[in-house]
Amino acid sequence: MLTIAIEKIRWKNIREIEDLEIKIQKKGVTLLQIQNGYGKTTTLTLLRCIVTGKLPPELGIPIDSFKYKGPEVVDDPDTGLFSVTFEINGSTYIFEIEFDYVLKEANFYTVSDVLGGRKEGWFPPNDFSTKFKDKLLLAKTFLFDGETSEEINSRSGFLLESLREITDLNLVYELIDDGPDKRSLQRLISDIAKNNGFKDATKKYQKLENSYIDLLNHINQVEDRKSEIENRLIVLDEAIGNKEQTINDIIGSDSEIKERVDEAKRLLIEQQKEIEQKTSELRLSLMNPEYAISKMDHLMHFYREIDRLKVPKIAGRSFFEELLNSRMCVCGREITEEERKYMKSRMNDYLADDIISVVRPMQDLVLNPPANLSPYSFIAEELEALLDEKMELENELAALQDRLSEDLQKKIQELQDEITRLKLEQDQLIDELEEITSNDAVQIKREGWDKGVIKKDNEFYTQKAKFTKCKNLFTLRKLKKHLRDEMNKVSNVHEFGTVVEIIQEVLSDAMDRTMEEIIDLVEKTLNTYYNTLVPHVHQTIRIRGSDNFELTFYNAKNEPLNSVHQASKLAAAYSFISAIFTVGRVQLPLVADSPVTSFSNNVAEEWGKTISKLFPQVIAFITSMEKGGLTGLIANSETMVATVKRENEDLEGKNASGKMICTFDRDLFKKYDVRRS
Amino acid sequence: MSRFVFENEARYYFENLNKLSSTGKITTRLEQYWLCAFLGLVAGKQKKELENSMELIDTFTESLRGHQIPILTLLFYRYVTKVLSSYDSDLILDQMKLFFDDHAPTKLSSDAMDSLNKYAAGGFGILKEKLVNPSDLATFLINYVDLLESYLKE
Repeated sequence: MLTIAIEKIRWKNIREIEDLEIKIQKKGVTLLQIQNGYGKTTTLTLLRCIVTGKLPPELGIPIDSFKYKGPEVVDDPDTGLFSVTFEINGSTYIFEIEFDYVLKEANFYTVSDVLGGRKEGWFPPNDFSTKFKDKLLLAKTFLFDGETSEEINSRSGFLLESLREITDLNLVYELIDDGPDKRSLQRLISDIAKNNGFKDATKKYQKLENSYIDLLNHINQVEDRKSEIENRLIVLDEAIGNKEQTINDIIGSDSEIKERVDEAKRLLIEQQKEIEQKTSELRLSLMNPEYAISKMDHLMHFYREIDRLKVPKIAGRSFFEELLNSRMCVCGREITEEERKYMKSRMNDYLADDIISVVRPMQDLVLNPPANLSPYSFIAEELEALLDEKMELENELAALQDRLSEDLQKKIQELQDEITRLKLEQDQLIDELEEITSNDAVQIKREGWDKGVIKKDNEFYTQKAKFTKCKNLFTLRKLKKHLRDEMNKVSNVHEFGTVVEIIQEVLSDAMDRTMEEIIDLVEKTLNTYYNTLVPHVHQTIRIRGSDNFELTFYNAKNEPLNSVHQASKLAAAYSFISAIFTVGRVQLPLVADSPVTSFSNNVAEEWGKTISKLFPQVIAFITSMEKGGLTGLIANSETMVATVKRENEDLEGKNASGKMICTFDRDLFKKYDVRRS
Repeated sequence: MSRFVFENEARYYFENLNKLSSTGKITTRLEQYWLCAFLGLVAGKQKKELENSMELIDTFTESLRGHQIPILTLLFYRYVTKVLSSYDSDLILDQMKLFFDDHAPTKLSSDAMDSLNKYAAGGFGILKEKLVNPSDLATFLINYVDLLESYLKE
């Protein structure tokens, strides 16, 4: 339970007030009689600032509007101070707003033993801050004026918002649907996503997932196509084989020709094998440039020159290093220090042993060439001859066919045309199959088989429109892995997001049910208070409207009333505030500006009797004109009465000069009668 | 460690040949590379800058390993005669130091390897001009030998 009472209010150079401090009783009703224009509304506004921690400019109120405008000469007119002393849960807190009218600035100060004295800034206890910080709407409920009544009765959303705030359920609602502090769970996820480099993890994940599913479907389609091609190739192979067999059979119908054709074909097969062998032999012989070297005179000359120059030294560097480290020369003589120094300086004349083992054979190769150099030109000539022979055999085969009857030749020609057509299809399918199955990245890029899906090594276009053009499984599987990796990167945030969505839904349902119960309770209490305040109207009030939450009045016959008296609205507003305080676990003062101005004297008297039962502390700023309906309260000795007026001002408000004072004279309170609006 | 570098265009040239040929294929990339380099070395033709290329391995593969000495013999001759017109022992020794690297598997310094890569690119320049779109390996190799012989005679 949060218990708050106001102990003191102080004004210094605020509007009409020079320097005034009023002590207020912490329990019961205090009636402060202040005539219009002396600062009632200003005081209420500043109280709202102090409770919500918002300075006047933050509420759109200019600093100048608080500047002292009274008739007196005051000390330090460029500064002002408004301060309120609260008792909050038993501890004293003074909140001050200091004004600098020259710089047009205002600052908060907080004074408390808890804080160790006076500190610049707004530092209420945590539960106070949680309840009221920035909550102007809630502040308006107990820092009450005609506007509050109007809002309670007519502003859509006011009832629900104030209920949420007073019960602290607004904190839960903020988790669900974001609030002024922008701390919804969804935002939390959004922030986590942002911090991880993802703008919107859930959206991104869904986009990736959609792409991934589309890609899997596409891969399946390509794999199906691959199987289809493979099956078709088998069929084509068989069909071509059958047609070739038919041609053979046709040729075989002439036994003499058949024999010769078979022979030619056998020879052709042998010839092909021989050609392949010879080609391989030629290819391998070209790996060895010895023969070419032997034919390059300049090269021979070059190596002979090197040999003549005795480069490099025969021995490798390790031999020289060994010599350098030994005391004795190979000839048996001791090596002198000078000789050693010289030898050291010649170290670079010797190549590493590994290099010597290469250079020497190089020189030998040129100077003493191997006897059996294999000239690839001979192999090439043999290969050429084999190719010629093959051509002759093919010509012979064609000639044999020419000897068949015209009909058979025509039939063979048709079959061969058919074979050509089938082979063309076969070639196209083989090409397509190669496009599908190739895993040679260079070939894929060169042939454009990736269809631009791969931007760079690890960058891909993931749009469906793009990748569905690509048939290459290697590329598609790379893209699949890329998408999987990207999904993994985002999935933690995404999964968290899904959990949050569930939590939000559960919370939202729970909150709706809780609010229903709270509204039932508030409605019941509200009607109790309302009937106490205005028993003669025989009305009931409901909070639930047809499509939103608003106060709706019903007559005794339970018929909705389109309009009610202003006094009923005011009574309903007080009743509502009292009711929500009962569910909000708070004890707050009611500070009201002209609280009974719309009431008839009877209703006002009723208000006076009831109000002290509804609020532990009531501070009412009234004008002298409102006293008529509050006679009961004024007569009650427990009610503290005070009049704020100018020092020289008479009972009718004339001679309004001198400083503003506060008098607790009960007699003066009753007699003070200013008939001014 | 320096590597054999083969131009992409040359690789496509041989890939196409392999695809069409009915008398055999040259499937080893380094053999394709060597055929280009051999022609470039014999013709003494280097390409100044390599274009769109890929790095191959850094050692001679099986079919070439046994011929490392004659390959180096040919390359060293081209390497030195490109910069020296007359020879003395110090100059030759300096060139040998520049050419060899006893830590490299090929024994070639990065400078010498770079030179060989440029001969390969130069040799391919000749091939693509003289033997356009070959479709059969046997015929290609016969024509290749003719081309090689023509440069040896020059």
